[in-house]
Order: sequence, then structure tokens, then C-alpha cells
Amino acid sequence: MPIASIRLDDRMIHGQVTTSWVKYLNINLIVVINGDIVEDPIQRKVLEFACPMGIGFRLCDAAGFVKAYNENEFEKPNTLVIFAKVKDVVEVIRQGISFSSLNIGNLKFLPGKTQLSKSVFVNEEEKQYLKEIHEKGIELDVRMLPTDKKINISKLL
Amino acid sequence: MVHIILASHGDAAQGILSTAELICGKQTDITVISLVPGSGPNDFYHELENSINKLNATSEVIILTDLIGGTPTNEALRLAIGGQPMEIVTGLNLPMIIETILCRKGKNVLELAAIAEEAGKKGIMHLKVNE
Repeated sequence: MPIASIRLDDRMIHGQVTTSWVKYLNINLIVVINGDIVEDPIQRKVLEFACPMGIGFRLCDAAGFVKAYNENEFEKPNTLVIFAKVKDVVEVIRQGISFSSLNIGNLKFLPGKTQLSKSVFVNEEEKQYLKEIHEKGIELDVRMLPTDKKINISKLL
Repeated sequence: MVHIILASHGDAAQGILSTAELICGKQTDITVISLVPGSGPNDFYHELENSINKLNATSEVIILTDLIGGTPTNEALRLAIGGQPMEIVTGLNLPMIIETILCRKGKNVLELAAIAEEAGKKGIMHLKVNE
């Protein structure tokens, strides 16, 4: 498995990722999946700056990720995949990509969302998507940092 | 005079300002913005934007942030790339803030950013006593 970790985090690349996770997993490529900002030059530039020096960066939508994955583009680099939206995680699973664990970092609070952990808030739709992921046998590993204790949220879904 | 914004995760920016003021004396034209647990990137972005909007329209702004890749830096970048004029220097440390404060008079923001970067780097040294 060339992909070191698959993470769900709507903050994408930020302090917890660039320091703790990148070192812990010895990452040399960060792939951010967020179709909303692929065409947004400001957000792209911010992520490029945020990506640590010497580590590759790629921004794509779910379809672009599936294509690159199927073309074995993540065979070599030790890759950290960060999804901004749970919908896209489900999308790539439906497109045939399988993995055993989904690390969940941050999903921000918005009015009407339910809190699943300190940093994870979901609306009904997102909850259903998480349920679908869990029912595929994929572990939902809620941890902001590698050293945090894993929180089991499956009972809350 | 260039306005200085100090931005960090948690209380580091506030702490480093009070330490710097012990050394350089009480300062004006400095704003501290902290990313506190429970607040997100958008909160930080708006707080930064509001702080800048409150300044005199002709004020030049330098923002010293704690960590490249971290949310305070990312949101400052988002604002700057979006068109808000300001200079961003990352890796905030005590030598950087002291030098920036002491050199502020008569400098424009670009000159000050260069001074901040250099002072931050020069303040880091491994003192090899046993060599």
C-alpha cells in the first residue's frame, strides 16, 4: 500500500498536519482532495505555501484522485491523502478504491451539526456518509494528532 | 509607523509580546491575534481582516506568524493573496519581534519584513561550548 494515511480534515493542510503527521508517517507527498477549490488560485496558493518544504503537493477533485490512483501515481511516494469532505471519501470508495482506516481530524462546527468528538461536527448527510464508510468495514479513527487516543464514534452514528 | 500584528496558535503571540515589552518597553501599534481551541480558520481570517480594517487606511501592516503551514499563517496568506496589502514573516521568535519593534521608525513594510526575517534567523544558534 503506497498510501500512508487517508485523513478527513476540512482544514486540509495546517499545523497538526505539517508538523506531527508528516513526521510521524515520514510523508513525502500530500494530496488534497477538494473539488471546490481546484479552480481557486488563492486557496491553491495558500496550500502550496502551507505544504512543508521538500514535500510534494497535489490538489485534485475526487475523480482526479481516482484516475491518478488507478494510474499508480501513488505507488512510490509515501503519500498522505487529505479529503476536505466526507462525500468525496464515499465517492472514491464507490469508484473502487479500498483502504482499511480513515483518520478523521477536523470537521468544523456549523449551526445544526451534531458533535461527534472535540473537533468533529457532522450534519445528517455527513453522518450517513460516515455510516456507509463504517459499514464497508473501514475503521473510523478520530484523532487530531498521532499521539491522541483513538476515539470510536461508530456508536454515535 | 508600520503596524505589527503578532499571530499564533494559542497564547504564544501574547506571551512573546509581554516578554518583548519587558525588554523594549510598552509598545503601541501592535495587535495580537490568537487561534484558540474551538475557533477555526474562518474565525481567525475574520478577526485578522477586522483588525486591519480598523487601522488607518494608510497604515502599512506586517504580520509575524508562528508556524509556516499553520492556520494563522495560512489565513494571513489567504487574505494577502486575496489582495490585502501586508507582509508576512513566519517563525516568530523573540529576536525577530525585538528587532522589528526597535527598527520600526522610518522603515517601510518591505524593509521591515527583511529585517524581521534576518533577525529571526540570526537569533538561532547552537552554542557549542565543548568544541
